[in-house]
Amino acid sequence: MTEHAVDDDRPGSPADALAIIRNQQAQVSSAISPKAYLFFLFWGVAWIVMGVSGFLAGLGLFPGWVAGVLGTAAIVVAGAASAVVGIRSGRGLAGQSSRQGMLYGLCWPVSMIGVSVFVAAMSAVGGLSSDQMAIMVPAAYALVVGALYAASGAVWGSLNNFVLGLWIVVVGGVSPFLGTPANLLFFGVGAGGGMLAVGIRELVRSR
Amino acid sequence: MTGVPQLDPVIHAQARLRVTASLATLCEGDRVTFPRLQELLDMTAGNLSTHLRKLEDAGYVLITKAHERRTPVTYVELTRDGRRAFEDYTAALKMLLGDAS
Repeated sequence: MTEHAVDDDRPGSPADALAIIRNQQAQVSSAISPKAYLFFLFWGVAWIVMGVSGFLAGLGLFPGWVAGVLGTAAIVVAGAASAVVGIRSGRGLAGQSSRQGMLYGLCWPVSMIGVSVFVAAMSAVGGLSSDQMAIMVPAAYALVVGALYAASGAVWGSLNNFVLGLWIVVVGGVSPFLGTPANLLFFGVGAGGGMLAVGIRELVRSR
Repeated sequence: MTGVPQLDPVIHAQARLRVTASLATLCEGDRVTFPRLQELLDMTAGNLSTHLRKLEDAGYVLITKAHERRTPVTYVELTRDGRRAFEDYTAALKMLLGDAS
């Protein structure tokens, strides 16, 4: 019986058995946890595109609508890529951890839509000028995004996420003092650059 | 010392060791669908079923069938006994290797 032959295939030695366990567990954990560095790379690039294009538009180097289109495209691409990465790694898993991950994942689009609605209201109802908006908008996003990153770092025990999150909160809080358009450059290069730096570090370490 | 530790014969086979180690990687109370487990292990469905049946017979694995959007889904998870057996097995290996920790 072939079934029997498979059964008798024992590990060669206790050391072999331990090696099988370690390899298998490393392989499974890397397959089922989303690669955080991918999120950082996607969003790092997106924030740099948003910040730098906003800054250049602020200097009058190209029209504001171009910066708006570039920024929106960056968000859509990074958002879609993140959703794909998150959903793929959680495929076929159920239980407490998946639920926790899914609910945390949902906090992102909900919070981002919340900030967008708030920002739109500040313009439409609050009557903020475009310069005031240019100062307030990046700070509002950075504060919420930073807090979400830091919380994920605290819950899932990633010091990188935690420190990066707090750094983004600092960027958000400090950026208005620089005035516009310098705040946009600081937002893009500071927060986006921070994500990119952490993403590249984790990518290199995972190789 | 109580002599040479016994290695649980249910777990001490390469394929079932890989299955058990994979399931033990999930947090307690988490489960995985049969096809995803198959993909994580790179095993054929028949081979995986055979080993899962043996683990289930030993009470180490719980197999549940559910319906999601009318499609039948089979979930696999390690039972509390299975998790304990895997921990004991790992501890026995370490003891055999002279690692007292």
